[in-house]
Amino acid sequence: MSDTALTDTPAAPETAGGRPPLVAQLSDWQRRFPLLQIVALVALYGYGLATIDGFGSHRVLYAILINASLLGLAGAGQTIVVLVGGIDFSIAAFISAGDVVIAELCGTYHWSVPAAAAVALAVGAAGGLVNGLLSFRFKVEPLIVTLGVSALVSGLLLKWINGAATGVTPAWLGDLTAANGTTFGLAIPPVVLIWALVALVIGLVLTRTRAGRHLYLTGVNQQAAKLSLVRVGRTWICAYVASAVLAVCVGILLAGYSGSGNVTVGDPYLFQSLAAVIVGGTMFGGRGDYWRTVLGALVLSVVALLLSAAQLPSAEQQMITGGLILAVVGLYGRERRLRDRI
Amino acid sequence: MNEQSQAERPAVLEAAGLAKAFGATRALRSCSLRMPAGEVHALMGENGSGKSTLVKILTGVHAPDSGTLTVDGRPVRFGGPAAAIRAGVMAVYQEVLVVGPRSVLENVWLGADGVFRRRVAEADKRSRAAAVLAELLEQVPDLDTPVEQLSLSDRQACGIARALVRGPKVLILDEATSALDVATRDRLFRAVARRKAEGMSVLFVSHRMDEVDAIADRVSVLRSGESVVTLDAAEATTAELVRLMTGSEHLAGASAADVAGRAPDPAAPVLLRAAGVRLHPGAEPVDFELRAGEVVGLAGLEGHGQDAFIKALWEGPPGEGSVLRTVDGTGAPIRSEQQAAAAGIGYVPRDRRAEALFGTMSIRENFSAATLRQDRRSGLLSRRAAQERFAPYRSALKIRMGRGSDPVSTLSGGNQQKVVIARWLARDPQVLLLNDPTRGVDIGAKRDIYALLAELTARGVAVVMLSTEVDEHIELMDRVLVFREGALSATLTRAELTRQSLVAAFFGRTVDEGPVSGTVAGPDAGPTTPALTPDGAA
Repeated sequence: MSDTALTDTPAAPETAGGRPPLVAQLSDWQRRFPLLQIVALVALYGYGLATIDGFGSHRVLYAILINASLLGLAGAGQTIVVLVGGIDFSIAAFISAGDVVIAELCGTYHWSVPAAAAVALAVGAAGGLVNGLLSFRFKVEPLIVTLGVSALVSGLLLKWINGAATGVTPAWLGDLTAANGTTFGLAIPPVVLIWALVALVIGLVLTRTRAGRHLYLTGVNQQAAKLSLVRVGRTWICAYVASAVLAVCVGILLAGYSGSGNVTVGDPYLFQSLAAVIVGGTMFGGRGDYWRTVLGALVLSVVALLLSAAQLPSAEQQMITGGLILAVVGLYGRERRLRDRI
Repeated sequence: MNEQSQAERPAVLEAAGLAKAFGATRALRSCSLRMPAGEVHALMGENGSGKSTLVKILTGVHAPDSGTLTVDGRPVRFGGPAAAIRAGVMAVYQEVLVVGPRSVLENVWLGADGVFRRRVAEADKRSRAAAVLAELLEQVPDLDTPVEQLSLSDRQACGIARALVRGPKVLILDEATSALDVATRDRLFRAVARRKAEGMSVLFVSHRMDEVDAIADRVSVLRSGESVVTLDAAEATTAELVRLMTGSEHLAGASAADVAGRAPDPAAPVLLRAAGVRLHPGAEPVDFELRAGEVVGLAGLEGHGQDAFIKALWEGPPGEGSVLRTVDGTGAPIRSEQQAAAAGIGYVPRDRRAEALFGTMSIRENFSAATLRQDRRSGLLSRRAAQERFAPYRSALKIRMGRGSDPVSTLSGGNQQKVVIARWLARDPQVLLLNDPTRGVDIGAKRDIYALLAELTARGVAVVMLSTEVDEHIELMDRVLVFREGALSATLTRAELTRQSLVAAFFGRTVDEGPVSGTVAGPDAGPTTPALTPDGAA
């Protein structure tokens, strides 16, 4: 019997069978390591440097990083929820909620920021609890539940502020996200360091703690997780609470960024938070990690900046972003679970 | 050799030198197989020997890397499963593949119609489906019943009927009998015998010697992806086949005897007590005591309550009654798997893929899933800690694997099962509940599991094991609880255990009552109520 060429290459998983060895090997690497995302990030940034004047300046870099930080933080909760096997379309609403609650309570009612933040976070926790409980206990499709909660939260906000936000946020909150901001004397915007810190903590929690492992076990096989003594309900609900709370945090930062409350500030994140997760390559149900989402957020931010630098009309910007996401989904679409859910 | 006469008849299906590699794994090295018309050809081999790959090539799921395939003397190259079906090769798999919410009729004719037009007339469909189902089932369900309302065994019968209604030239039964109850299986064998006379050939993949004995004309053995030999069924003794499959003799028989040689202590402490557990509304409640160091078998026709009972021991009774953990004197009732685990009970579920494995996760992560606390080093999970904990189980259970970081899905069924068992052994259980642990597991791995049982019980661990194999009960168990219609119908002690007595008890009889033999089809064979327990419902 003739030996096949495949036997010459080191171990590749069986799904790669039948493809040329190089492709098989690359796709195997890609599964373990976000190679493609790193290549794309470097290529896109390089393209910007080569074609756009001043793309290498600090100002542009910080703009990218601040944008990526906010997106990455919004995508953190989405990553957690996606890993456990769900999806969260209420992130945008909770971002708006964080933003408006801070601006209104501080600006209009003159509360202190910590007190206002506590209220905002409590709103997030309660909303996340509703998301998690409804989708787990009553087995309602998370997509529907989170969109429903999202509409509910947006409606409540509008009612509360009578249709128009009036509050203004304290200046120091704005410094957190200012491109010329400094952290302990370093010329780095604080929000970037906050993101780095959060990324570190979430990365560690996901890979090195029981809670994180329970998240993966539940996401990969809920029934088996239950029979392996994982409290799957608790894990699922906690994931949704974490997602909503992180979204509220992004909202608080955005309130500082824009200086005033705005009920539509979260809207772009409705799909962007999921896009960061998908572009990063995290799969529904237990495959991936937060580092991938970090890369996804960076890639999307660079793309956004390239598009605005090219002064494309927003119609074309949207088309390109949409095309990019579809291309990535197509690439990963072979993985059954992802295809099932999108 | 008798092979000569077989060889002279024209082959309906012939494979020569098939090879298939997945990456570096050579699943099939060189496999040849020749099936004349009207032959039942058994295919045996350990898990990982290439049986599944061969079946997938024959059914067009995989394309072979090299080798040839001929149907009726014409070389074929299947572009996909549909091409194989058109050529007359149909397969039924171990997993029950039905569309639950659709009717029996639709499931039997699944895939027969095009998108816009019917290829078979409705009336024709009904009569043919009814005829085939009548061959397989004592009581043909209403053709409009949703399949999910049937028992697991009846659902699988629908899957088999799907293949039979199309009148295949070659029917492949890839461990398809493991989901069938005894009565349905015997009916299937009779249906196969009838169709064999009409020229249909059957490739029969099974781990069960008794089934191979019952219907096979010839037996081919695969080992490490190569066809070793084809024997006449008459020549193929169990010991011989085991030797051929494993390539050695040392595994055969030995460890089962270790278990049989034990004498459990009748005065050993009671570890677990079930009192008045009602498995099904209206059924008699079950009382049961489990003593340290004994192996108790749970048996019965599929869906008669044994599965519900073992689950009741794990997560508490479904309705009335109580399960008590008695050894620590507290007698605390068990109402959830968390309480059961805290009381030193471990549970290996029945459906590996759906209930036990985390397919995309590593072998190590699969092992440590229920014992993560032990892997904490200064608050964080340590890979090395898990690796070190796993090492002794890996060698004790003879788990054949690559690296601990490989996905568990790269292991063969038997080794996957060993990883799941190791997951529970790591909790050091006093009571181990095994729900059909040797299902779809090759003989070598079965022997390893039997040896483990002997070792565990010697240490005073009590084992409750549900098994669908009569021989396992006879070889391993100290006593067997037989379930019928949701209640405990008989308890057979070691001294009373014979094939006849056990199978008779499945049908609610004793051996003295009449002509009941190994292949019983009593008047009331088969479940009379549709699925007393949601066995295998996903």
